[in-house]
Amino acid sequence: MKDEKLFSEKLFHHTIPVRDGLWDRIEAQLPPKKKRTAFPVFWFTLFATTLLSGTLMIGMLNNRIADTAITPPHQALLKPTTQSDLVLAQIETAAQEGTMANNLSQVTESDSPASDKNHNIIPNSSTKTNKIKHSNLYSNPLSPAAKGSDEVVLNNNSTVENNLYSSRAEKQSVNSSNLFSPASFLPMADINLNDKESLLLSITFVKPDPNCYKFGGVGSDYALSADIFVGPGFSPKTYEENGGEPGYADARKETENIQYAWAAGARLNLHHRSGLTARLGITYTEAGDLFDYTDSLATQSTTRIDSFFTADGTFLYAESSQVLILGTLIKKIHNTYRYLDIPLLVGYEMPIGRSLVMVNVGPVINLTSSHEGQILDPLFHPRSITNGEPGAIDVYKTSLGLSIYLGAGLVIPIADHFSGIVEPSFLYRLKPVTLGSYPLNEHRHYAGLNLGIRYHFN
Amino acid sequence: MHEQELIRRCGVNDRVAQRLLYDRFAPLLLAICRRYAGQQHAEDVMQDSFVRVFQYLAQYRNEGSFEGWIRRVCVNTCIRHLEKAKRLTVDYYGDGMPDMAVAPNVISQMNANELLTLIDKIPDGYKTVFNLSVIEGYQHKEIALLLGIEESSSRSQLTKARKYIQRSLEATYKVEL
Repeated sequence: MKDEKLFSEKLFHHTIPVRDGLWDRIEAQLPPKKKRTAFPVFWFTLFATTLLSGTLMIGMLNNRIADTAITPPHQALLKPTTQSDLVLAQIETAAQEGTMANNLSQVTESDSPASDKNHNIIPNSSTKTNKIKHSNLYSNPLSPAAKGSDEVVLNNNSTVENNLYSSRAEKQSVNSSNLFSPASFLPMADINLNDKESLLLSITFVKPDPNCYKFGGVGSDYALSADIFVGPGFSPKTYEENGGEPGYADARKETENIQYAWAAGARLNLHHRSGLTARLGITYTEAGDLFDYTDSLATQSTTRIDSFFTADGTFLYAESSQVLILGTLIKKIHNTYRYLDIPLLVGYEMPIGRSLVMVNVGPVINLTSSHEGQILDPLFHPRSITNGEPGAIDVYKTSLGLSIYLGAGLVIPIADHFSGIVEPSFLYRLKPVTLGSYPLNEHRHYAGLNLGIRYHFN
Repeated sequence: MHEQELIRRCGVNDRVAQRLLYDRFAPLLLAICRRYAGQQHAEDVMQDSFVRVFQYLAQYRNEGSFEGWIRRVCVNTCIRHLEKAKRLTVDYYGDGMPDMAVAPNVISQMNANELLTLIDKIPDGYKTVFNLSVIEGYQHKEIALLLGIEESSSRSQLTKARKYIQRSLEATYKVEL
């Protein structure tokens, strides 16, 4: 129509006088003061803080356990370069050759000058006590617990009182204070090796120190490792109006209940000796909601066709009528949201005891996302969001762009080449997951706990 | 009172501010409701619109004009009203109508009330699309999303609304080209 603009010009700002009394009707319906729904920053922060605190506590506990446990270094990966390493290497050799006691006395006396006169090697099996006393066979120089000792019941027939101490601990004891005086806590090494297998077991099944195999090669500044992880999470979402009806956001909140979330992934890590680490990987995240919709005034319309025939079967005419059925429509549909992301992270790892504490941060690029289920459309009708389904409403982006990843956790040595990973993480998606043209911006983030395994390459 | 201050005070349920806001925008909203819902239901829908405006005013983020926001709320309320009343069902009235043009000066000589009367005659389904597209300036994609219809349906309904207006004008003013 040629004069279509005239309609807009004349009617867009057109006003009609309002009769008196209308305000009173409105005022009577005004809702009571409404509490604003706070953005769940508080819950995010609480969640992250709790996880981080838990991680640090585990780290500290792990540190104590590691310092007091019988944990000589991992022989397969660590070449004996220090005095204490040499001592242990010779212990193992001696044990295998059955000449433990003699060699030990020689080694101890020759390699530990600070304790030479205070060590009494008593190759005597007459004393039966059930105890092996270890004092820091291999201790961490950073650890104050290096001055302690433990008692471990090993075998009724074997009595080994072993007060070997590492060269690092020895240096501390000599340089710092009397607390570390070898004479005070390492007076003797009393070894009676009746059960060689027991000692070998205690040497073989040890927790490897991650520092041992992180930079195993001499002169190498880099090491490689690979992680695989999986873990539960929480995928909170928030809404903000984008030109739609204001009540739409509330209706969405009321009809969609967060049920579960989890993530799994793998990544390759390049470690530098300084502790800095670069990580590249792939992460799959899945979140589930329950769409819970009830329409108590639902109607179902069906068409009824009545055909009329004469007695001889000749068709006369047909009548059609609409039948309206009133009822309650209840929908409970499990919605699924899937995301595939590529994290490009920078991390820093710091040893605490025999474990590592790591902090990771960096961008995450979303490769693709998909959605299944139903939500309320802007007209408050349930509509499908499943990609490719007939009648599905186009709500969500298929690629979400950049997100920010923040994680902090522990790397706990488990076995040769393997460590366990515990990493609380948070993924903040910078942009809404909904299309720009959609009348509601939906933000969906992810907070989770990654539990996994790290393989350390030689 | 400055508009932002007025909005802020309305957000904390200040009745005086709410009344001021009502006085400022009620004539405009009533006209919008009149166009969508017709004379009979205009006041009810306007009342519902204001209740929604005050209920969700806290969600207004001072982005864009406040009039634009309040207008959108009103339009959405009108559409919901029509939905509830099942008045958005489109009858395919007028199939095969000739595509006639109307003399330009006919519409330009009509005042707002006459135009409203003209629009009132359009079936609700066509009228809603016509209002959204021609008067409010919505794109067909937005209309499709708002009404839960296909974009092509929005276009075809607009075409039919135009034809309907042309036929009404032709019948009323005996205009024929």
